[in-house]
Parts: sequence; structure tokens; C-alpha cells
Amino acid sequence: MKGFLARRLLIGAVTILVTTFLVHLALYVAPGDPVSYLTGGKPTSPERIAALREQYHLDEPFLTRYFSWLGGVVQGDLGQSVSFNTDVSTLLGSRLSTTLYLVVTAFVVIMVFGLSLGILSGLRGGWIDTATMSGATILAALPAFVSSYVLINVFAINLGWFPAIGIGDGGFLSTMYHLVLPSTALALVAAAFVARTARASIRMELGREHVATATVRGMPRRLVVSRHVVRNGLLPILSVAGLLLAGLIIGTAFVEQAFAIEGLGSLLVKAARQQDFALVQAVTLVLVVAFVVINLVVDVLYWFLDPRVRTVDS
Amino acid sequence: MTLLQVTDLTLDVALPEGSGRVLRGVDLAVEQGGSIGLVGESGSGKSLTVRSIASLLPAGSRRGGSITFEGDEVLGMSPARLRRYRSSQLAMIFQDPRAAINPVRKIGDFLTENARTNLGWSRNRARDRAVEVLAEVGISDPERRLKAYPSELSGGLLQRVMIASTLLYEPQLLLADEPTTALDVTTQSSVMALIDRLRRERGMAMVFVSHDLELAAAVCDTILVMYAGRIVEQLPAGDLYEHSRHPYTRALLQARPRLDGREARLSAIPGQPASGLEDSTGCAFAPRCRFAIDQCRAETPLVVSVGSGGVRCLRADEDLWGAP
Amino acid sequence: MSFGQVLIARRPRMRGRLRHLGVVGWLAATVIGLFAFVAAFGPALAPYDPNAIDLAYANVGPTPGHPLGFDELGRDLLSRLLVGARPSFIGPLALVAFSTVLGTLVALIAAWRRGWTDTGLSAAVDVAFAFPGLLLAIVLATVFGASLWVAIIALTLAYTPGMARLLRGSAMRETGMEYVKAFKVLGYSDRRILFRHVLPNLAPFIIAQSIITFGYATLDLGGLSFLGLGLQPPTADWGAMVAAGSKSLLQGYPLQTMAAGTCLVLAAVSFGVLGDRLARMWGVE
Repeated sequence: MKGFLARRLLIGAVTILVTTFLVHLALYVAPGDPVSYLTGGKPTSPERIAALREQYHLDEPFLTRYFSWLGGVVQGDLGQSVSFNTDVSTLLGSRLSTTLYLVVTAFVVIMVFGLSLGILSGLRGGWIDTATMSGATILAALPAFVSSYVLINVFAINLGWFPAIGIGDGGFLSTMYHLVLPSTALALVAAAFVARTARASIRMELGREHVATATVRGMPRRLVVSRHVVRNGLLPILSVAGLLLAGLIIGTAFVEQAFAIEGLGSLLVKAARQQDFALVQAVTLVLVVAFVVINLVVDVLYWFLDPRVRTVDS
Repeated sequence: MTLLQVTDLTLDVALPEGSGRVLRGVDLAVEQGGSIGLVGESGSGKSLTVRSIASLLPAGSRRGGSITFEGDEVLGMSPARLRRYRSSQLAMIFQDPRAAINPVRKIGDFLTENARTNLGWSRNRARDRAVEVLAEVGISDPERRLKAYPSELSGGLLQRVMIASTLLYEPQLLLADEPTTALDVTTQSSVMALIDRLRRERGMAMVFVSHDLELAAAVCDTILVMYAGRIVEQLPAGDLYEHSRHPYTRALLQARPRLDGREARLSAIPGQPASGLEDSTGCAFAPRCRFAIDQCRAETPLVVSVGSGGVRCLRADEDLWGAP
Repeated sequence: MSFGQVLIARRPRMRGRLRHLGVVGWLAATVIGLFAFVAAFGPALAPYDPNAIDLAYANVGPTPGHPLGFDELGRDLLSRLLVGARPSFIGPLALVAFSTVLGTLVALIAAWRRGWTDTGLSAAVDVAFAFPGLLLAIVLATVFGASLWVAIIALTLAYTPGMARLLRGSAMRETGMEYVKAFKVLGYSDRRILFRHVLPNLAPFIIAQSIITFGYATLDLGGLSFLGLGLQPPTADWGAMVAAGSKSLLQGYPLQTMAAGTCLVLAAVSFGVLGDRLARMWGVE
């Protein structure tokens, strides 16, 4: 277990370093003077330019710059955003929790609806199966930036059941209320995918010999289902959970834009459009760290839940 | 006393194009403590027969005929009766222990699951008994093994675990579906010897499914040869080599390589084994049979009693083989 | 097997039973055909100038002569949709073309050389595959400025590993076939075997997969346009139109967003369906 964990942590750390290195490299090879990115193209005084060159070590070789940045990050200094004219860390603060709420809510929706419908379809068949699979096929084709507006149009503008934009004024219930539509929009495609995967997995498990063994021993059907079919059938879902969450995090860029939510996703997009490099760098760092952590957690969970992985590892 | 009686068992399975008949009127009987070997090639229906005995039918299939255990009709059992039948009177061993044992649960859980759920045993009682049976099948360090996962054990060891799982209680009938096919040859013989010994010690009846005629003859009292969903010959195991009469049985016997090196060339049965699905009129084996006559292709032969067995062949009375 | 049989046995037929396409498949093909046609001739088909702003008509609904009404700047919506088909088609086309070519190359090299080359390439592909394409597009847009070509290049880099992975299996199988060994013994050059024999045999699979990928490409590029990281205004583009119509939608005029969104989804679904049916028809699932 320890060896496994150590290896995964190492891979994670390397991934973060390599990614941030490549992102830094992108700025280095970019056409034009780096200073213009930092000033946002606005006219600046020579003193300010000199100060910027000093702060970002622009006159020093590439590697030094990279390590200075890294050093700053470790101390909590993520640089300055030119487009917002504040510390990057300040900008990230509240937005981080907003996006977190959004992603977690969407994840819950996916698991509650997608997973349970998928399992039911696999176990029961019949009309539930047909209905769920048809629904899944349709929903899988609706990207978040389109489904957001469909939801807004139907449920916010026409029916008026939910607010169309924003995140409310801070209270937990208000936030959750505002997040219903956005998290649904975010969850739809992934929920469809999870439903189909779960159904396929359950059906495969139903045909397996160990299920026949349990049945032939006279085990009651519901125990056979819970202990042998579902328990085993959920493993493939777990293995894609990491990718799923990564997709959700990326998807926030679209949903936050559509619902005018101040989150990491919309911040990233704004920064990119204004070519605010420090900000893009910092948000990318946060996202990559998030991906690495998620994958690590999934791997560890998988290690606990599937003993076959342990035998292979040792 | 007859423990298990299968009469005219037919099975139609659901296929993409409709349904197909895979078992075509199978008859067999097992006495208390007796053992029969069900032998045939792939597609003969032997596995499905044995699964039908356990009432383990594929989804969407239809069966006809009757299977009675201790006089009770298996295919019409109430859920409670079925549960009692399966959990305490019947035991089944499958071909591939790695597929048949849930890989994400411990060996101990596998062994004690039935006893604890269906027979109401306490955790400790079940655990102690599990340790006993593991020792009985020759597995060392049984307490430690209880906590192991299937992936940590070899195939032979796992098959012993599966055998051990049938010993926790006192089943009257053991269904063994090719229990040694997935194992290497040396392990095969030790596992087979184990099954044979335990069965005799406990007086369990057994239906042993195999494609290996010799192996079946060694451990069973009676041999039933299946082809294309039907029983084509039935005879006491001792009579197999000298007194078998069905062309298919003889061909199977002759197809085995001899270790004394007296053969120049292996004789093989021409053609491919047929499954019940492909059946039409006439004897299913006729296309591959060297003794087939026109009548064989026209009418399906009925079983003819010969000695203490039966043969499904139109030419059973004739002496087709020269000197016995 | 005789040599002649080895040769003859190897050409899979790209014809198949056309009825396997089914009604749905034919519908999809029709939609795509229409899409391509409008992409080619959009500007000529548009009844009005797609860039003619007239604020007096902002968000006005359908009227005679303007079946889809107007966008938020009073431009004829139908004309903009027709003209917007072109970048919405060309973009994914370029993306799919580049990533397919590159992905096929990587897969072929890995399958041909095997050994360390394969291991190395597979590892690199696995690592690259894990990186989200959108993030790459955002970083590149930051550095090089947002434009359709930056988006295409970024997504090409993101799609290529996926394509390579997808094709590797078939490539491995194909290069392991008897006829390849026969040709090598005959002294055919690597290039000849690969490009005149292996590749044509892989063609049905590659083509079917490319068509399926076209569907994803349409949505991904549309999404980037939506975020403002693709084609820049005022050029009409479906993704951008979804964004442009959002304020109007909030005020109760959903037509622009919905129409542009429907076009995107319809196109994407059609590609997915057609690719899937073709794969079935050619037996290359």
C-alpha cells in the first residue's frame, strides 16, 4: 500500500511540474514581448515596465523564471493579474468555493440520477431500460453550453421556477437554489454516460459465473444483486470517475459563462480573452492540482475496493 | 432409491433470430449415492442439462419435460422449496473457479455465505466449519486463507476451495460441471481424486459433466453420452470399452491417442460437433457416421435397450464392429 | 494458403448492405449533405447581408421575408445562420483531418516498429490523452490570441492522442497479418506495404471513426467559439451566435441562441449517427 501511494504521489507531483513547466514555456515561446502580456497592452510608464521586468525576472534565463514562479507559488504568491489589477490569490478566493459547490452538486446529480437509473435499467430491463437509454442517447448529444440555455429558457424565463443567473447573495440555501439549473446543465452529458456505462456493466455482471454460483446456492435474489452484481458492477464506474470529474471541472467554463456565475471557469475564460497570462497560469495550476488529487483519490479507492489491483501491484 | 429423475427434458433458448431447441428430450436418473457421467463435445447440451437440474436456466428460455428431486418437481418449485433445495440438498461445482468465485470478496466470505444466509449459522460456527473443510480438501494454513482474496490463490487451490464450499453442509447431490477442465494435468488428477474420495465418504450422488470419456468412466458408475441435445448411449462405466455400441461413442474411444505407440495415425471423427440447434430430421450424428444408411437420415432413432443400458441408433442390434 | 489467396483475401469491401444504414442513417447523411452544401454556398444563399446592422430591428421576431427574425443587432438571423455554417463546418473538418492524419501516423509507426517505439509512443499518448483539450486551447489562446486557427491547432494536439489510441489496436492487428510478412519477404519497401496495402485495409475503420469524431469536433469548436476563444466577431459562427443571443434570451427572445444551438446539435448528432452506421455496415466496430 505504501509503495503504491508513494508511486502515485510521485506521478502526481511530476505531472504538476511538467504541466506548469510547459505552460511557462508557452509564454516564453510566444511571439511578441512578454511585457505586453503583463501590461495588457495598455500604455505604461518606463518605471512600471522596469518594475514588471524585475518582478517577473524577464531579463533572466527561462529556468530561473520558472523556479522563481514556483517558489512564489509555494509561498502563496500567485502573481498579479493585469486585467483585474489585483493579486491573483484574492481573485481565486471566493471563486474557488463557488466552482466547488457547482462541481460537487453536479456530481451528486450524476450519481443519484445517472447511476441509479443505469443500475435499474441493467437489472430490470423493460420500459425503464428503453426509456432511460433513449433519454441518455438524447442527452449525451447536448453540450453544456446549449443545455444551459434550454434550461434557462424553460425553467427560468418561461416557468419562473428558478433564477436564471447569478449565485445568490451568500446564504447556503440561496446558493443551492441558484445552483439547481447550472449543476443540472453541467451534469447532463456525464449523467447520460454514467447511466449507459452502469447499465452495460450491470448486464455484464449478471451473466457472470460467480453470480450463477451465488444463485445456485440458493442466495436470495436481492442479496445476489446487492453483493455480487452491483458491488462488482460499480467498479468500472469508479475507474472513470476521475475523468468524469475532470470533465465537470472543465465544463464549468461553459456553465458559469451561461449563468453569469463568478467561478474559476469563467475567470479562466475571461483571463484568456484578455491574455492575462499570470492569471491563466495560476488557474491552470489550481486545475491541474485538482485533477491530480482527484486521480489520486480514485486510485486509492480503487485499490481498496478491488483486491485484484493489489495482487498485480505487489 | 431414485434421488433425481429427469424425464424428456427439452429446452428452447432465446436467440437473436427467435428461439432454438438445445435439449431434445433428455432422460436420466441418479440413485442415492450413485454417480453418472455426462459426456459429450461442446454444444452437446451437457452443461445446460446440469444447469437445468439446478434450475439455473438462461433468461428467456422455455423448458419442457420434468425434473424431479426426491419426488418434487424442480421446475415448478416454490421459492422457499427451491431455496431449500439449492442451499442444503444440492451442490454445484463450476468449471473455472476464477470466474465462479467473486473476485472482490474474501475466500472466507465465499465459503460461509451460504451457511450464514440460508442455513442461519452464526458467524463463528460458519467460520470454524470453513476452516475444517479447507483442511479436509488439503489446503494448508486454513485460517490465513480465509482472509485471502481469490486472486492470491492458484487455479488448483481455488478449485479445492470451491469443492470445500460444498462440504460445509450435507448435500445429497453434487453437480460437477467439468471441474478439472480449466486446470493443468497434474492438478487435474489430484483434484479429481479428491472429489471422488469425498463423494464416496459422504455418500453423495453425483452428476459429472466432462468431455473426457476416460475420466468420467474412472469416477462414475454409469456413463451417458450426449450428442446434439440428446442422450445417444447409456451404459455402466465398466462396459464402456468392450460393450459400447453407438458409433459416436466408439469413435470417441478410438479417437484417443494410445500411449503404446501402436497407431500410425490418430483417427478423428470427420466434421464438426453438432449442437441441438442444428437438428433436422433423422439422426443428428448421421452426417459424420460411417455406418449411416438412408433410413438414418430419414427418421430419428429411438432408444433401444441393450444389456443394462440403451443406445439411440437404428443399427444398434447389428454387430457393426466385428468381434467384441 | 497460396500467395494469390493471401492477396485476394485482404481487400475488405467498403460496400456493404446499404440497408444497414437504415432510415436514421440516411436521415443523418441527408442532414450532413445539407450542412456541407450550405457551408459551401452559404454566402450566396443568404437573402440579406449577414453583417448589416439595423438597431431598429433588434430582436424582432419572424416577419414576412425574415422567417427567423433578427439578432440583437438587427441582422437577419437566417442569413447569419446560413453564412455561419461555413466556419462551423470548415473548422471541424480541418481539425478532424489533421488529427486523423497525425493519429494514423503515430498508430502506424507504433504498430510497425513495435517494441520500444510502441511502448514509448503508447506511454506518451496515454499521458497526453489525460490532458483536457479545452485547457490547452485556453492556454494557447492566451499566448497567441484567440482565433479559429489557434483553437483548431490546440484541439488537434488534444485529439491526436485519442485518435492514435483508437487506431493502434487495428493497426497492430493489421500489421501482424500474414500478407504483411509475405510482402516483406518479397522485398517490398516498408512505405509500399504501409501505404498501398495496410492503410487501404484500415481505411473503413479510420473513415468511420473520423466521421464520428467530426461530431465531437463540431461541439468542441462550437463551445470554444461560444466562450469567445474561436472565431472572432463580427463573422457569423454558430457557437458565437449562441453566446451573442444569450442576453436576448434572458429578455425573452430565445430565437438566436436556440436556432444556432439546434444547428450545432443537429449537425453533431448526424455525424455521430452516420459514423456509427457506417462502422456497422462495413463491419468495423
